[in-house]
Amino acid sequence: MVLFLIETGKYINIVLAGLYCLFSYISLGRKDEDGRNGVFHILEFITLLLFISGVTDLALAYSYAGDEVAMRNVILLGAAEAAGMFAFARLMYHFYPEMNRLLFADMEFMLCIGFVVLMRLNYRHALRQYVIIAAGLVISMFIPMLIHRLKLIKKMGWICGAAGGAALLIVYIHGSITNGAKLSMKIFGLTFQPSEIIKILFAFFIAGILYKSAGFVKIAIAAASASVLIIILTISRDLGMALIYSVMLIAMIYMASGRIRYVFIGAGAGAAAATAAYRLFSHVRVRFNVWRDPWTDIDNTGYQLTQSLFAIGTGNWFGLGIGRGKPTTIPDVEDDFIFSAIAEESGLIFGIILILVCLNLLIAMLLMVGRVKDRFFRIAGMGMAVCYGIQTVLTIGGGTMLIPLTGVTLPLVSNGGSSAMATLLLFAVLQGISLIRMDEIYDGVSAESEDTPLNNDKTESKKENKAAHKKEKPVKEKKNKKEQGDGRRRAGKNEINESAQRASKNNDAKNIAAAGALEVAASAAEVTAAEEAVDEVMEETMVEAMGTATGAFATSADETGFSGDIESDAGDPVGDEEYDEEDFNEEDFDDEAAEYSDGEDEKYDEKDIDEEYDDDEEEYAEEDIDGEDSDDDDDEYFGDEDEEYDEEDIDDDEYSDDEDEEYAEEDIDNDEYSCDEDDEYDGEDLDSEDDIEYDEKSATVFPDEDYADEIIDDDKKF
Amino acid sequence: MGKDSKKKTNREKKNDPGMAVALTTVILFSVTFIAMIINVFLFQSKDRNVVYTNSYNHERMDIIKNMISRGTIYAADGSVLARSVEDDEGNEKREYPYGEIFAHPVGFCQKGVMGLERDMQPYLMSTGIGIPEQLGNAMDDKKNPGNDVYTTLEPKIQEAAFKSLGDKKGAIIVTEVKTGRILAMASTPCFDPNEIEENWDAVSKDAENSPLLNRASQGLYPPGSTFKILTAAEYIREHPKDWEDYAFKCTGKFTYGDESVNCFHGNIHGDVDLRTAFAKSCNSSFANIGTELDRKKFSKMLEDMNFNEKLPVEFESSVSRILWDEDMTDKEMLQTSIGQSITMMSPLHLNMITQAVANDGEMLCPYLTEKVEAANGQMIASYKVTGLGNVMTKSEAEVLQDLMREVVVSGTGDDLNGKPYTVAGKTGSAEISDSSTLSHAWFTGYAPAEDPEVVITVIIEKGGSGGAVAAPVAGEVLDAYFD
Ligand SMILES: [Zn+2]
Repeated sequence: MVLFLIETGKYINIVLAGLYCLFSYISLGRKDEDGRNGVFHILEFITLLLFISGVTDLALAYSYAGDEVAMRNVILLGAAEAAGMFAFARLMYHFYPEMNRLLFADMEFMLCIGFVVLMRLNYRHALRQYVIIAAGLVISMFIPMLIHRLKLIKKMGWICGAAGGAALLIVYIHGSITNGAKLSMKIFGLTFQPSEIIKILFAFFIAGILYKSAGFVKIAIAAASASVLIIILTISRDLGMALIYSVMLIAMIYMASGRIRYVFIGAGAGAAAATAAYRLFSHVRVRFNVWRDPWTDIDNTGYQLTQSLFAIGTGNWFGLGIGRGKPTTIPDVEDDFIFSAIAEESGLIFGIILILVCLNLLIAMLLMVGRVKDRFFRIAGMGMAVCYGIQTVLTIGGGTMLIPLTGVTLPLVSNGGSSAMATLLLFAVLQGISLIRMDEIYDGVSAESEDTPLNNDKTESKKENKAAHKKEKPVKEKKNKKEQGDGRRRAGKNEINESAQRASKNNDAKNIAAAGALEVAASAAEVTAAEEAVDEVMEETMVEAMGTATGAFATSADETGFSGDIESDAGDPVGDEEYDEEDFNEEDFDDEAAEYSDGEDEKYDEKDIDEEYDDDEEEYAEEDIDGEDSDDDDDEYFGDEDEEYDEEDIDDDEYSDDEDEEYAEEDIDNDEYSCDEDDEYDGEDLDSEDDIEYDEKSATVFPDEDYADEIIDDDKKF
Repeated sequence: MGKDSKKKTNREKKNDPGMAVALTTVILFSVTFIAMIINVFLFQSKDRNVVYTNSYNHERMDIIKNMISRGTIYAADGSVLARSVEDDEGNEKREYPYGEIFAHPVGFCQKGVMGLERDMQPYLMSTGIGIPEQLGNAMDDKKNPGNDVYTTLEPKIQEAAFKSLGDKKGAIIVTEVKTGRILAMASTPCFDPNEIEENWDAVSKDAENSPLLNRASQGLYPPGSTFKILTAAEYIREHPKDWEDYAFKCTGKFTYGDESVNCFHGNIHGDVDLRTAFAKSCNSSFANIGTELDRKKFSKMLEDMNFNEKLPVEFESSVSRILWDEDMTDKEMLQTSIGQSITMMSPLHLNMITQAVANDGEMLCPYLTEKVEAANGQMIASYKVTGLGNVMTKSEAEVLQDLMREVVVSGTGDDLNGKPYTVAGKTGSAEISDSSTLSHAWFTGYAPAEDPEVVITVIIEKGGSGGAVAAPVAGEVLDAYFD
């Protein structure tokens, strides 16, 4: 009977994984950023079932083999893992309802598979890995928020790079020697492999160089400084990691420049480097020769790879059953050959499904990154997504003899603290980037928001107006600025930018306020603890959230108006902001973008507006407590405001007629302001050439029609 | 409006390369991932043998043994060659009803694996029954039955071959001319696979007799005069019109430069044409022909005939080797022309060449397995005739058939003349470097001569002359075939 259950479990696992794979690809085709589709619940449910099934199979196998202790351990750890995952998922939904759900679901899937296979391979390591992953998950809960807020990271590119380089050098000099490569160091008794974590810094570093412009000089700088890191890795004999960094570099240059020729150049350089490595390093030669023929030296150098092939081959299509194979004959199976262990016991069909889910995860990352308009995060995100992809290829391809072995781990599944931690952080950063993407959607989508200050003004001025209505502080600052100002308009621009930042915070506030309204039924003690920790950090934000609930509801109200407009504009092939401005005059100011733009312009001319805003702000604060009605109020509010500024709008129309040329000019003008603005606010030296280059491109603003429906859904929630 | 939207799309492209880059990257990675899947898929579908037979995977094979009850091996007539039975304690044991008769082709699976037990292990040790049936077995805590292998071996011929070898060392291989099916493959000295475990030390350490060696496919012997088939084939190829005009006066010895070759046992054959030289196996004449051959073309022919490379059969075989190139010395050339020098061939290889002659020039791949079926009768794999290409033209083959027929009619193989069936072939008496012992006795031929059905190759180690020793053995086996 036990045997029957074990055998049945094999097929159940395959069916569940297959279903997961199917649904994950179905959900790729959907607009997942909103994440309220039922498919994600299905995905998580399947993952849970698969995990339960896997743990049950393993426990049964131990029971069949008569190992009661192991069986009990597996059940206990499995329960703890399931509880931890569940708690983590609830918390993530709680705090980041807008995160990329597919990315998250795939991550959970991989983690669950990793938990089961590690428990099977080495219980002690699984326990340790569980602790590390739990810590990593707790840390990674803050990351999206930090990424989302601290756009400051853009200015820290060189710091990231220098820190990374220094850490790698330290490891090289002091590091202990593992596997013939100097790649780890011990801190407080824990072996730590910095090159894993530094991958993330590396992505930020390169993005920091390239996000403003990707001209030849910048690319050369990026390539040269990246080479320093790569060379350090190479002399540390961490060639797998050097390869990963190189591929990340190429991908980020490709993303920054949009030119595929850099990929070819990079591939050429990579081939040359590989040849050089083959000549220089004996262990590279050994691995290459083993790859070509692992059988002749099966006793020695070929042993690992042949055992991996034996594992896959013996497992056949349906596997020997979890806990019933012999994966531990493969040296380093927990790290580099985890795929072979999975294929041996769960079958190659399961293995192929796993490869497909890895691909699904990668595609989800890349699509998300591709949609982000913020160039910095787009480039950094590209680097991280490709990092995940190439690691998967190197591990699975290496273990199945498609390519030579590189000694790289399978992200989220393999054993290894540094690797697991780095991957979780990487995923968290990508989730942060996906939140930035969501902001862009809510903001009516700005092209090149941050890096193109001109455009900022155009687009973020929308937020700015909102914020200006709702916040006293910005208004005061605005007054101050005006006093110092180099002219009214310019000062206004500065103001706009800062208030824009506030506005984006309001989005957060909205999330948090909404999340706060939910009751979280977190059973496990650690969950509560983690939640408390998160809450502490977010306390300030929460206060702000309550205080500025106005903002949250106003924002959602605005979005309603906005999305409504998109629908009405559906027939219009040019759904640009410029057109919206025109619409504004004819239709009754229901166009958010138009309103803001108008508001923006007249603000500079009308000194008294600020006072009016102040009054309104108070009104708003009162009414927002009711919440529901704020939509109407909003409309009225804007309606009044707009009428006042009708004259200004007519001016606007003048340049919308000839949008392209006029805008280009406008952009350049604005560019000047934004340069100054940046100096004032961030102390950052903007390269004005760069800005102009991007401003030319960034004049257009597209409302993202795809998301219109989902935005409406959103609003229903509030 | 059209203009505007065009502008917009242009700008959009220029403006937003992000999605395009992301999609391109998605495509690049998708291709890579699909390559990984195809790679591992192909490994799983094709390269299974090494997984199931490599001794470095024995730990996993032990697991498989506990899950699968090894399948049965059947002869072509349906009789059992190997099956798994349970002993009194419920342990699985392998049983070989024919004992040592089929020892080499079927092999064994204790103390390592050999023969079909080895080559078919991926099938024998996996089950092709449906998943519900497997689950049913799991419910009853029963092993799943492995797949059954149906061979081409004919017990009647195999028994005759084994008996005719007697206590001589040697090998016989019998194949079908039109298909390449192996009907019999016997090798002596032999062992009893039923008692391999008990006798393992004696069997495996007997270096003098090497009973584990399947001499039919793994034994390598100097081909001796049987190689003249190839020398003659090349001569005919170079002289398609006037080969019949070949004339040579044998004085029992042929000298070329400083080197000379003697005819077997000092025979003097006098005036010979090609047909007589072949029938009488005149070394001097063939050494003479060797000096005339186009070395490059002959090398090409030998290459086409699978010399110096692994034979394309699915069971274990040795690589026949020969040295024939433009830089060879006179001695090497003379000796090689008559099948001596360093040339070594397996009986299987010679059988394949004979088969090509009998089959009008098309060589076929010999095979032992007809089909594999699951325990419930479902077809798992079936094998069919595999052509290895035309190694000679039909007219060349017909000339050789003529020459080989003449060997039996009036030459060294006349022991087989007067049988109720007609035979064509070539004898060989391969001299061993150690001249104090008898030569290896060869016979390779086919029957019936007019419409060939079956090819037989016999080697008797240190048996003496091919015509006197090997040809009669072949006759006994052919008697059984035509019985
Ligand atoms: Zn002669």
